[in-house]
Amino acid sequence: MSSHREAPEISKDPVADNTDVYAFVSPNRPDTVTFIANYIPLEGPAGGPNFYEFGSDVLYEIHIDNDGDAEEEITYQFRFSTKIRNENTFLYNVGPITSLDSPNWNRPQFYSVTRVIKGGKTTVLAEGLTCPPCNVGVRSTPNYATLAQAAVHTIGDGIKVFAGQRREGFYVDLGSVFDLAALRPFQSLHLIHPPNNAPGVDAIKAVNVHSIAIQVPKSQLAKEGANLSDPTSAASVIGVYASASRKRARVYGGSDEASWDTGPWVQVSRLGNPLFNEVLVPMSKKDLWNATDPKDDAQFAKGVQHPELAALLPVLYPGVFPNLDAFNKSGGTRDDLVAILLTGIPAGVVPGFPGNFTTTRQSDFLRLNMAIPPSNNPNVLGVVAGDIAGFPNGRRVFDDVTTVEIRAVAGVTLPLVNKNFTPDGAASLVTDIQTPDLTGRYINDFPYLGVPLDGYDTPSS
Amino acid sequence: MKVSRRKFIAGASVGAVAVGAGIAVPVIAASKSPAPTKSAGTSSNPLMVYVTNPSSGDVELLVGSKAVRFHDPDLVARLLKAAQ
Repeated sequence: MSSHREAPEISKDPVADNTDVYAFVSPNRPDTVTFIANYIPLEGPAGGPNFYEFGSDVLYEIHIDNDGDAEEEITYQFRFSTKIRNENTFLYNVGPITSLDSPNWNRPQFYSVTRVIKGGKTTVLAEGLTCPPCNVGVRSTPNYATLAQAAVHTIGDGIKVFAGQRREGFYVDLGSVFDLAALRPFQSLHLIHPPNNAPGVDAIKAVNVHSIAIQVPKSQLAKEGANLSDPTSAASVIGVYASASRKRARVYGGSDEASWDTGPWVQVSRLGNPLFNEVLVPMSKKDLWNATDPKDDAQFAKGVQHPELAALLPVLYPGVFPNLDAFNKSGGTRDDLVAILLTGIPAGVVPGFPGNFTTTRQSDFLRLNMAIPPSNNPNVLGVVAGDIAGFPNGRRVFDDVTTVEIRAVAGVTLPLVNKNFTPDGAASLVTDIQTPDLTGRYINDFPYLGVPLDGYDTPSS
Repeated sequence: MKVSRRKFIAGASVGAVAVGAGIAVPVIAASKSPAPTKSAGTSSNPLMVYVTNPSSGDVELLVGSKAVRFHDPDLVARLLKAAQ
């Protein structure tokens, strides 16, 4: 998946598992950028009685590099606390929850938002903000869309925030991809080809996720003096990643005392570009990658320069990727992928795209050129399809990043930096899911991810 | 170099002791992301002493959002004796 359960250690710690990160110029407030960091993968909508919630022992952060040094200049921190209103019931709610302060809601969550400026001051922007409950079902959470929208908070300085359950926006043919890289529509050409040639399946269309969204005026994100109407200016580009950290030690109290945490925060999950750790980092280093800051990503560059998947494709699909096979055997490095994922794309590489290059220091950031306005006619394939407001220029909630990245690995983007390379015909035909059903996945306003599925109507995911 | 939770927990099983009193030592390591609220680590809060290397006497004190490292072979010797 994008980054759901993508490393051995974090797959056992879903509350801290950063599943997706989005960063895009807000389509209905183009003077702002919306950042979304999702956590807790594969939430079954009926997952009660202890429905999903953020970790009160986890520090959630969204980091922004605005000067191309591969380190964050601005960090937004989110800390959660949980209350139990009625200690004598096992129920999540004891009646319909019709407002965020409903006494029927037995386990509300609250959070604070803190802005940390590198070398500057730390400011608590808001405290005591309410999360919405999970979407339990029609009896417990009627009018859920309205209830959840009340949890969109405006906290001053033109900033909006939301933290709570939403519909999973990512879509992927998971069962196929991880079954030895079966790529539709030419799975019949796979080295191992059972007779089942069914169309792609969106494996995560019926799950929810916990989402932290923050919408910030561009002027607060760019470094001082930036001209945000100039897409050719380096100052218009920001690098983004999100993370989750836990205290270095935890003491379990058993029956005698409450459990407690202590020590510095230790990063246990991070995410910039989708699928980076999932596909490009070997399993033996995935936990290390999660604990590492982007500025130190050069140690993982080999997996980008010589991706394992690119080497596997000609083997798994004999005769389908001859040009890619020849390139691999030449020992050439995938400088196209390095640019997309580790440095940003320099101006002039993609026709019509001013670029989003930030640094030669290899670092996995989701890079967004904030001066590029939202598209009136967005294409889910983003930049490779001529829609420069989409991935990998940031990432919108609906972008088909799986198809884009698989095509890129298969060689579609290599001619951008290697004019002698001709992609194989199959490379541009790979489509992770030909016709994904995206109904209800998104909304047109902040926080942009759709209303979560409810447990009564979606008893099984 | 960062220390993973797993590595720490594994180490803690043989070398960590929770104590209930504060120890005045210089702070040499702090959280990457400073906490905006008042710091923990007053004498009323629990602390954890992590003996990172029993043979050398290296100790790490985990308090609030901070880690304080120091060298105290005598303390380590007493802790090891108490652990027997």
